[in-house]
Order: sequence, then C-alpha cells, then structure tokens
Amino acid sequence: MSAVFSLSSVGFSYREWVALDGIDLTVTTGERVALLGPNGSGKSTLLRLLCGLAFATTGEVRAFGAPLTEARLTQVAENTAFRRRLGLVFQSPDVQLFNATVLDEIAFGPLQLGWSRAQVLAAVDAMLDRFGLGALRHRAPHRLSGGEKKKVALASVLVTEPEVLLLDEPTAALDPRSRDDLLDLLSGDLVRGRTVITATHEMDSVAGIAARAVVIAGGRIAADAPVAKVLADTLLLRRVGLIRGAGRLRLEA
Amino acid sequence: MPDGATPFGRCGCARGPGGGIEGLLHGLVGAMEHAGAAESTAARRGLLQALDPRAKLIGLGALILSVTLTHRLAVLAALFALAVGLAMASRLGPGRMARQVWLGVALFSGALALPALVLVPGPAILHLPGLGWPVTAPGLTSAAFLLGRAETAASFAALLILTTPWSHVLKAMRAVGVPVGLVGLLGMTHRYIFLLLQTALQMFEARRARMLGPPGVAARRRMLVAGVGVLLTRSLALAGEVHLAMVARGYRGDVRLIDDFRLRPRDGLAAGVALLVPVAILLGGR
Ligand SMILES: Nc1ncnc2c1ncn2[C@@H]1O[C@H](COP(=O)(O)OP(=O)(O)OP(=O)(O)O)[C@@H](O)[C@H]1O
Ligand SMILES: [Mg+2]
Repeated sequence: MSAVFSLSSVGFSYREWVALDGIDLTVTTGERVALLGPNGSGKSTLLRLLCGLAFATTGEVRAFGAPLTEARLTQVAENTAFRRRLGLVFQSPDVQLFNATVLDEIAFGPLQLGWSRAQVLAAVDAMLDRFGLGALRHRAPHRLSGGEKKKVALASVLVTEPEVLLLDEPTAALDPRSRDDLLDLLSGDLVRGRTVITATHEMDSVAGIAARAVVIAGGRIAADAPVAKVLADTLLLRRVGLIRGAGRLRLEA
Repeated sequence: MPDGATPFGRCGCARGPGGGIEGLLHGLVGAMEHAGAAESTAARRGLLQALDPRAKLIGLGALILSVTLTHRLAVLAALFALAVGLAMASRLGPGRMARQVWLGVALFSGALALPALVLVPGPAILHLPGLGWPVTAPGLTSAAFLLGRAETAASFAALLILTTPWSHVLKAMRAVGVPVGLVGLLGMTHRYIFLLLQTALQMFEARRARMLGPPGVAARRRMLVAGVGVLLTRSLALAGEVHLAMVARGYRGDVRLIDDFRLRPRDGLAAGVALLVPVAILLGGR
C-alpha cells in the first residue's frame, strides 16, 4: 500500500502560537482514520496542512509521494492535479457554502477543475439524488437548516470523486436523526474505496467511520492505534479530555 | 426556513426592540436577503427575465449611459417611463420598485438635490413656506435633473439585478470583458457583506442576551465602539476562511458558473434597440 500522506516531525504555528508540534504520521491508501482530540487540540489545523491550505512551519508533509509545499501548489497543473485528488469538508458549513444556489454550490468544484457542462450537470444530478437534495436544487445554501447545509457541503466535495476525503467534524451540531443520516452516508459506499480522515470529538460515532484512531492533544499525537484499542483506553481518553472524568471514575470505583 | 425569512426574522422587516443600530443591521441583512429574493423575481416569467443576461447588461448599460448623457428633461422623463414600463413587463410592480429602489434613492439624492432648489441663482418662482427662501426656476430644473437622473439610472440597474440571478450577472460581466479580478471581487464582496452583517447582528444579539434590561444610550454607544474592531477582525478571518474553502475546491481566481448563455435573435434585437438610445441622444444634440 502506498502512502497518501507522510508527515515527519511536522510543526505549525499561528504567529507565535504553536498549534502542532512534532507530528509523525503516515496514512496509506484506503485507510479510514479518525483524528480524535478535544477542542483546540489542532485537528482542523492538521487537516489544513494535509489539504495544502496551510504549510508546515517545521518538518515535512508529503502528499501522494511528493513534498507538499506552497511552491508546488502555485503551479497550475500541480494544483489542479492535487485538488482533483482530495476534498476537504470544512467544520463550518457557513464557510464552505458560498454560492447562490445549491446547484451552483455542487457544480463549483467540477467547474473549477474544467469539466464540461454536460459532465457537471450529470454529476450534480447524481449527487442531488444520492443525498435526497433534489427539492433544494434552487434554494440558497445559506438559508438551509444545519443538517441540510452539512449534506450540501459533503455533496459539493464528493461530486468530484476525490480519492482522499478530509472531514472536519461532519456531525457536530446536528440533531440525532440528521446525525445518523449523515453517519449512514459516511459509512456506506459513497466513501468506499477512498481514504477518509475524519476529525471529531464525538466518541460514539468513531467506530462507524474509522478503523484507526489518532488521538491529538495540545498539538501532539497522544496515541495512534486501532479504534477499538483507543476507545478501550479510558485512562488516556480522560487524560486528554475526550471523556468526562468524574462520572466514569465513580463507575469504576 | 421559508423563503424570504432570515435567521433573524422575516426579510429584515422585524426590528430589534429599540431600533437604532440593530434596526439598521436588521434592515441591511434584509436588503441583502432581498438580493436573495431577487432570485425569486428573477425566476418569474417576464420580458427581461426572458432575455440573455449579456444582452440585458449591454442594453441596460446603454440606457444608463443615456441617462447621464441627456440634457433634456423630456428625454429623462421618457427614459424613466421606459424603466417603469420595463418593470411592469417584467412583473415588477410599482410597489416593489418604490420599496426597493425609488424611496431609498429619493431620500439619498433628495438630500443632495434640495439645496440646489434655493442655491442656484435665478428668478424666484415661489418662496419656501416658513423660511421664505426663494425657489428659483433654474434651481428647480437642476434639482429635477439630479433626482431624475439618480432615480432613472437606479431603476435600470435594479432591473438588471432583480431579473437576473446574481451569479448570472457576474458571469455576464465576464462575458462582456469585465476583468476577472473585478468580477471575482464583486462576487466575494456580496458574500462577505452578508457574512459581515450576519456576524454583526449575532454579536449584538449575543451581547444583549447577556445583559439585564435594555441598554441605555451610553451603553449602546460603548457596545458599538467595542464591537466594530472585533467585528472587522472577525469578518476578515471569516473572509479568509471562505477564500480557503474556495481554494480547496480548485478555485484560482476565475468565476466559472454552470449556465452557458445562448444569444437568440431577440437578445440581439433588444440590445441593439437599447444601444440606439444613447446614439440618438448624441446625434439629436443631447
Ligand atoms: N487562525 C488562527 N489564529 C491563531 N490561532 C489559531 C487559529 N486557528 C486556530 N488557532 C489555535 O490553534 C489551536 C488549534 O486549533 P484547531 O482549530 O486546529 O483545533 P481543533 O482541534 O480543530 O478544535 P475544535 O474541536 O474546537 O474545532 C487552538 O489553540 C486555536 O486557538
Ligand atoms: Mg476544528
């Protein structure tokens, strides 16, 4: 299996604030990885680095076998080739959705990648169908409900069929029903065959969306193991703040 | 949420208690939502809606040019009548035009035009009641031109915006040769202003929710001053995020949209007729 991403002692700072430090991580083709960490641990920052929206301040990020640098992505051909292969669904759909209609929103990615009009329309229709969004086709994305927004955001990224899918808290702030809906989509054949990296701090959804869990705390990797093993390690999860301390302690005592 | 409703109340008609800055914000968000509502007027079956966006852009542009060229009140009046006629034929009633265009423009340019009534020298035709200031005939003409030009030009511009989805307006601009950067900027500005207003409103509401009782005038002013700085940094951050989200999906500065336009004979005809207007004005001695 070839490596999709390999990071060696990667660090990243927002000005003087160190958000990531000493990250070593390899993700191979087809893997489904959960990035677990409490608020502010650096999950979103790591996804940005993987997606080439920010660049490591120290260490090296390699993507698809080559170093991922700002210089590489300023070349049009390289940029298009790279963007075609991976998609990022942002944490906040209000950031992700900027088009006038749902149709334009889903068509945006394919159009930027230079697909023909017929190809774009066929792909958009397939996505609307798949996500049950047909009725919303001409609605303004910023006026949809939270659950609908998340679906449109996901559809707008999946439409280009990226090999690698980066999801930033796909189920945060959804009601249980919408959450289950979305989790179904994320464990079904929509994502089959793709490399999927999902950032989350919701422990109960992890098992369905990943086989491997990477725990991040304070910008460092605290654990990297199969999901079952990480979920069983309550000591670790409590230490990094992913599960509540007091309640569990009493149960165990 | 039903169409026309914002997260903050129906189409901005809802006023925050106490009006003031919040009322203004509600109003502005409402106005931006109207741009969204323009998507619904743009979907109606009407004369202008049936035309190609490029033809509309060129044709209405020519009419706006005519408005600025003419020096005859009669021509200006005819152009205004044309704007009203086009609006009616495009299912935009006078009520809607008045609310969305005429009233605002009248208030704004009226403030500029009023002084001209008394400041332009000439024979007095009447005296302002109470103040006794003389209103001069040239003053009246000058004020009529100011107001007439503003109203008519704004009407033509509004006809374009109200009968064309915003994304098509942008694409038509690209098609007639407006530079990528400018079009991209306009597209982004639209989105950013909306985000900015939403953020502002949320900040105000969040603050008010944490206060006991309605704020006094002084407190309100302090909130405003403290808010502006935070708001600017926040919206810049947000704008940066939106830009990143676009880059992540392959955006490189060009606006590419789905609908490819098709020019039909009637589109060419409409644009051609409209282009004749400024030409006629120039040839006819303005
Ligand atoms: N634009 C920024 N400027 C400065 N600091 C930032 C910026 N974005 C994030 N940070 C900081 O970097 C750290 C990591 O943030 P990040 O958003 O990656 O965390 P996260 O794990 O995604 O958190 P959450 O679960 O809340 O989304 C945080 O301490 C945060 O305050
Ligand atoms: Mg995050």
